[in-house]
Amino acid sequence: MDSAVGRDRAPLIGRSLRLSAGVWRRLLAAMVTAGVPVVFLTLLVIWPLIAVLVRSMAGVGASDVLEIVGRPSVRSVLAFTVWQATVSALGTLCVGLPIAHVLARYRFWGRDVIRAVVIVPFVLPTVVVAAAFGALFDRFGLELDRSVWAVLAAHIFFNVAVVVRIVGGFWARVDQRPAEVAATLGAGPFHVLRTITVRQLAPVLAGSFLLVFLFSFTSFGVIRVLGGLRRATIETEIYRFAIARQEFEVAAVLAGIQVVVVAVLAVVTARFQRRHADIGNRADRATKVTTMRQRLHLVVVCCLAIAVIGVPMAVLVEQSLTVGTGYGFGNYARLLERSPLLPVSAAQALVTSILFAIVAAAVAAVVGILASIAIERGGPTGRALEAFALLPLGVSAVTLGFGYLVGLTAFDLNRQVWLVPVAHAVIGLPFVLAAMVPALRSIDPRVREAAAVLGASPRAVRMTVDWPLVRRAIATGAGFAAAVSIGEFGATSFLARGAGSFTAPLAVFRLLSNPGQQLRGQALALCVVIGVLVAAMATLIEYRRDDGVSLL
Amino acid sequence: MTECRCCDRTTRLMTALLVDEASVRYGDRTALDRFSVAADTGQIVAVVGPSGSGKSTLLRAIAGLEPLSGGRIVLDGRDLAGVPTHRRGLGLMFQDHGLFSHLDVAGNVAYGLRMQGEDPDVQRSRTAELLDLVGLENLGSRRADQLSGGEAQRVALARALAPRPGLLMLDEPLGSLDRALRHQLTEELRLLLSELGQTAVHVTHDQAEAFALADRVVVVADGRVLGEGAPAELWADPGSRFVAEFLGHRNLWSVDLDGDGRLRWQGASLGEVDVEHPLRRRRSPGQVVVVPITALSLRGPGCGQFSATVTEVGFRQGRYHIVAKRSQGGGPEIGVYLDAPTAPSVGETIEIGVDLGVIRPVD
Repeated sequence: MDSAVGRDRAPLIGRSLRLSAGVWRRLLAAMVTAGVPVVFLTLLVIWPLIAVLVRSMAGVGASDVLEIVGRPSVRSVLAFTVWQATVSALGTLCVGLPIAHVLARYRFWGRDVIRAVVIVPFVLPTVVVAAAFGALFDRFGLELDRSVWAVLAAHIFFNVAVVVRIVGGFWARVDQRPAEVAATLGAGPFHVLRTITVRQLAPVLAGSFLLVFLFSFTSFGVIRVLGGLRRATIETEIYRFAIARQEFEVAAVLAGIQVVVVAVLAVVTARFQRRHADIGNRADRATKVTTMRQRLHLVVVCCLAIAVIGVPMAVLVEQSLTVGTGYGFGNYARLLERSPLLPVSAAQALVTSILFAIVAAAVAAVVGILASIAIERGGPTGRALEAFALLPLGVSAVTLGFGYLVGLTAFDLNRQVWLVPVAHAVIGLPFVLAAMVPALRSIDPRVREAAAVLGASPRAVRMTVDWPLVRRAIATGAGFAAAVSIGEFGATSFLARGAGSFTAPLAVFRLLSNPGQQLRGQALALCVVIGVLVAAMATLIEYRRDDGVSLL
Repeated sequence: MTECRCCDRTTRLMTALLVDEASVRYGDRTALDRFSVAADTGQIVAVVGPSGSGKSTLLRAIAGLEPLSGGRIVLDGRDLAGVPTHRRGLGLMFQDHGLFSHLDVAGNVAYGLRMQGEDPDVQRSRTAELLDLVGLENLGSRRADQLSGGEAQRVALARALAPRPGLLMLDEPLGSLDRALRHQLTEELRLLLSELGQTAVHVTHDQAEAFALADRVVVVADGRVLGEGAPAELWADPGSRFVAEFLGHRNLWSVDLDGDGRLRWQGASLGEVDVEHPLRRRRSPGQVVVVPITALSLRGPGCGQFSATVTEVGFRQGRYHIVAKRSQGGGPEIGVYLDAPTAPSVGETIEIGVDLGVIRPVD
């Protein structure tokens, strides 16, 4: 016993001092990593949402809420919103599943190209996609009701990536042995598909259906551009009541409905995703095409993919180059000129967009890194952060923008130019986290321990083990945040004030909503520039991405 | 390799590692219970036990990855209490090797030297030396996640040895490899470590691997030491039923010693044991003894101490392995080796002789 006392006495003082310094440092680190994201999210996500909900409840009584919901005009908006989201999701599955199947099952030349091309629409700005489909319908003089069919087609175009990535990724890794056993027991390809594969895929099919439904439900830019005056969804009505008619109460009630529906959908979707997360964990089992029939199948589906993705893009480019009766770069040249319709030149708006994208990506990256460290550390704060930081993904940008309008007026913050990139950062934050958190979690604790045993201090472990393994994830997340910022339209519509925050998507919308061939050409040219910029970023990210890091 | 290139330590202490009544608790579960083990400089100690016996916890405690709730750990005369992991000067090799996937092979091996702030030239030459030592001199620029299982293990070993650790810890280092490769690497590892004079603690659930590699074997269960000794000693005298069974002894007999020193088992008289025999000091009826399989042999008719009926005939590693039973009705199984070109067939009665000198009582 006394040997123990003698042994411990001398170092005890030093150790207790060192320990307390360590404790302080850790406390400070915890305060920064958890505190910054908590303040950021509270001020910029939770508070605006509460403001909207309070406004929708307090400003009007329960009977008024019922009265607003009961109006025929509002009921038809609700009905159209649900209808178009359902049809969009079903249509996306119809187009996406054959592509997902081919990419999952066959190994062929150009597979990676098709896979990269299919992802591009998902990152394209909504106004660009809407403009492309408007151009497509005009180009071929389609007599269909543009306000419905073009909207649905644009939604399908957008979300094919979701189905291809989620279902396809799962399909490629699903356990094939049950299907093989079924085949030996005499089941033909169709029976195998019906009795085995569909059942294995059921959770991902439902999950991706819900996700596309959610995205279409909250679609804003596409409806604004293509829906015209007759077709409105909850999103566009929130905007119309809040901005055009200044009836905040009605807008708040609609936003309240929106928040509740989205929350329910998000919870259900998350449940489906969690369920399939642990089933599909096998190596890529794609095989070479052998029979003539498979080859034909492959060619047909690839043509479908190229047509669905390529034709609208090609028409957009072709139309942007149309000047009068011939072709030329006139529309592009005019982007540099000042137009009486716009507060700044289109080129200047693009510069603003790029600057905002850089700021938004930087803010999202910093907050995202801190938040993901806190999330990875776990505990109640980490879990709460994880739930709230992903909220902007589900809550629509319009609701968020409206929340800023309602919630931040009190602080007179809603007129600041910098609020636009900060709002973009909020919307981009889930992308940073979606890349960062799995990357941090995938680091085997043993690797850190091995580094420590080899003499790396905790700081050195972070710099030599954690950082190299997550920096690509940070680049991926920040890159996506930047791409999202460049195309962001919903929240910007609410927050942009004057020339300083006039972004490129706003310019596209302004140009498209005024009649005139020249303005239309200019809008399409701007769309091509934005589209090329964003697609290049997405392809770069996709190309450099680690296998473990993906946003879909 | 004829000369030792790596041990340039001048001061040498006899006891390199001393784990003294160390305890580790997870909540109310005790993973290590007043656990003591020591390793002399240059010695390889194998800690062997079933999974969940606390052997990995022991390594984690030595590394400082698990705090002690009692006892102490001394390395080269230095008490490690309060010393963080990265200042303990250890090497650790995991089963799934934990290589840094973002670094190449050379980067992995040089990592510990880099952390010590070694000169880049020294890092390079030492890395080359280590890669040469483990036979991977050409793989320095290969990515760590593009290695085969055996190569990854060799890189992990080189990485652990590069900073000249005071103690190398091997946590089931060969567990994920196939049998043939495991045998080969066990042999290589043994030669390498003894050549380097490297002190090592080796943790495994495979007693054969422990015996092949270690100078001393420690058998653990439930966080406690149940037996220890040099491989041959421990095999010959396991001390307890658990250790005997864990080491693969099959013949555990309950015997009676009468007043004249005559040993009886299952109604058969096995003969008289020597006056010096350890059994003489334990004469409780039904005393359990371990009879090493090498103590039994097949005898000609009438020459054995007892007869038994063959129930199984197998062939393992070049000789017959016969399982027999004392009587038709049941009783314990007896395992016997037979070095002969032909074996008896199942159901045949055989005569078995026992070398009483090597049987040992167990608790």
